[in-house]
Amino acid sequence: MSAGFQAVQWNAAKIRYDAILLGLVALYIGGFIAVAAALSPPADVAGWIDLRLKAFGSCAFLMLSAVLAIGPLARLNPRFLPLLYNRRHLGVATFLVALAHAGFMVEWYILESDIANLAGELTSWADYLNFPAGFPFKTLGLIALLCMLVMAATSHDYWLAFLTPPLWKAIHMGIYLGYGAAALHIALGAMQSNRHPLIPILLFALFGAVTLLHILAARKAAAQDAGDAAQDGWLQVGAAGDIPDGRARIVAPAGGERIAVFRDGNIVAAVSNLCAHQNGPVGEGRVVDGCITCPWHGYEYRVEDGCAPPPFTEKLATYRLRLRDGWLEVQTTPLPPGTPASLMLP
Amino acid sequence: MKRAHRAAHRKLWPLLGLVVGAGLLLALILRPPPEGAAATDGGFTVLETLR
Amino acid sequence: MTPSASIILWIVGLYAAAGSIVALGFAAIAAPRLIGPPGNEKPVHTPMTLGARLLLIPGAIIFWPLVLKRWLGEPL
Repeated sequence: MSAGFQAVQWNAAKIRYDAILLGLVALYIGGFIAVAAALSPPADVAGWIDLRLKAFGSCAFLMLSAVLAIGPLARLNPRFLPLLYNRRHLGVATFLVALAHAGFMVEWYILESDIANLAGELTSWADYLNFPAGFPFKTLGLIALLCMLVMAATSHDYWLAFLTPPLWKAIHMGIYLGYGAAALHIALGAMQSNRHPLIPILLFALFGAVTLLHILAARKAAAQDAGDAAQDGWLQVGAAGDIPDGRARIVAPAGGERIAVFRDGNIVAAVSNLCAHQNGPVGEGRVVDGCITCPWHGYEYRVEDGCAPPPFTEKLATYRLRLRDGWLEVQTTPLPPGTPASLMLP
Repeated sequence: MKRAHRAAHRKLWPLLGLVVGAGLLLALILRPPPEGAAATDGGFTVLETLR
Repeated sequence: MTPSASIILWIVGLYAAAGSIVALGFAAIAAPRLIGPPGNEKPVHTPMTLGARLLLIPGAIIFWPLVLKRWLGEPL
C-alpha cells in the first residue's frame, strides 16, 4: 500500500518472486532451444526463427495457464496464497514473452519479404470457413495477445483506482477469453502443422486442468454464497470464543455480500469481506498488530473502525455486532466505511 | 470478489470449457493426415498420431 | 494487402495516434489529479513518480476515450 504512486513498489518478497520467475523463464526457453537444436539443428536463419517462435510461444501458454491456475488454487488451498501476491508481475511477464513470440513471427515474414501478406492473411474471410487446417489461426493469437496487452497495460494500481475495482475486475476477466483464443491458436496452428503427440497431450492437459480448477473453486464459493437467513436484520455468527484469535469467521446474509467477523483478543469487529484494493477476501487474512491484513496484497485496516492506518486512506464498511444469549450476531446493513463499530467481549 | 463477479465466473468457466474444449477436440479429430502419409482415411489419423 | 486489411489498419492507426496524444498529456499533466491515493474516492493531487507516469501511457492509449472523459470532469 502507498500514499502515492510509484512505478513498482519493490520489496524483498517481490524481488525474490521476480528473480525466480525470470530464472524459470530463461531456463525453459534456453533449454527448449538447446534441446531442439541438438535434436534437429536448424538449416538456416528461418529455421532458427521458427525455433524461437516455438520456444517463446509454448512458454507464453505455460505461463498463461499458471497465471490462471493461481487464483482458483489459492481459493481452494491457502497454501498457494504467496503465488497470488505478485501474480500481476507474472501476468506482465507472460505478455512480454507472448509479444516476443509475435515479434519473431513478424521477423519471419520480413525475412521472407512477405510482410504485406501478413495482414492479408488475417483478412482472407473465406479461409475462416476452412476449419481446421486452413483457418487463419494467427487471428486467434492476435486476440489472445490483445487481451494480454489490455491486462498488462492496466495492471498498475493507478488503473485500479481510476477504473474502480468492479470495472477493473470485469475488464481483467477478459483474460479468460484470451486464454480460450490462445488454446485454439495452438490447436489450429502448431497442432495442425506438427504431428508430435506431446502438443495435443499438453494442450488438453493444461486447458483441462485450468478449467477444472476454476469450476471446483466456483463450486466451493457457491456453497459459501448460499448464505443464511437473517432475523430482523441480524445474522447469527456463533459463539465469539469459537473465532480463533486474530482470525475471522465469514458469514453471508442470503443474497448479500460476505461479512468478515474478526476477533482480536477480547475485541470483535465486523467488516466487509471486500478489500478496498482489489475486492480481495479480507476475512481470509489475519490481524497483525491490531490491523486486519488482506491475504492478497497486504492492505491493512484497523480492527476498531475498518480504516487503514495513516497516511493511508482506504476504508472498509463496518457492521454492528451484539451478544444475545451468549451468541454473537451481526447486523446485515453496512455502516458507512470507517465507522467505529467494534464490540468488547465481557 | 463481489457476489456478482463470482456469479459471472461460475457461469463463464463451464461455458468456456465446453466451447473451447469442443474446438480443441474438433481440431484434433479433423486435422488432415501428415504430408506424405499413406493413410487415406482421415478417421485413423488421430490414432496414428498418438501411437 | 486486401482492402479490408488496409481499412482495419487505418482505423487502428488513427485510434492509436489519437490515444498517444491524449496519453502523453494525461501522463504529463492530468494523471496525478484525476484520482486520489488508492481507495480514496475524492480527486486530490496524488504524488506520482516519473516511472509511474511512464507506465500509465500504454493503458491511457488503449482507454483514451475514458481518460479524456474523466479529464473533462465527467464520471466514467
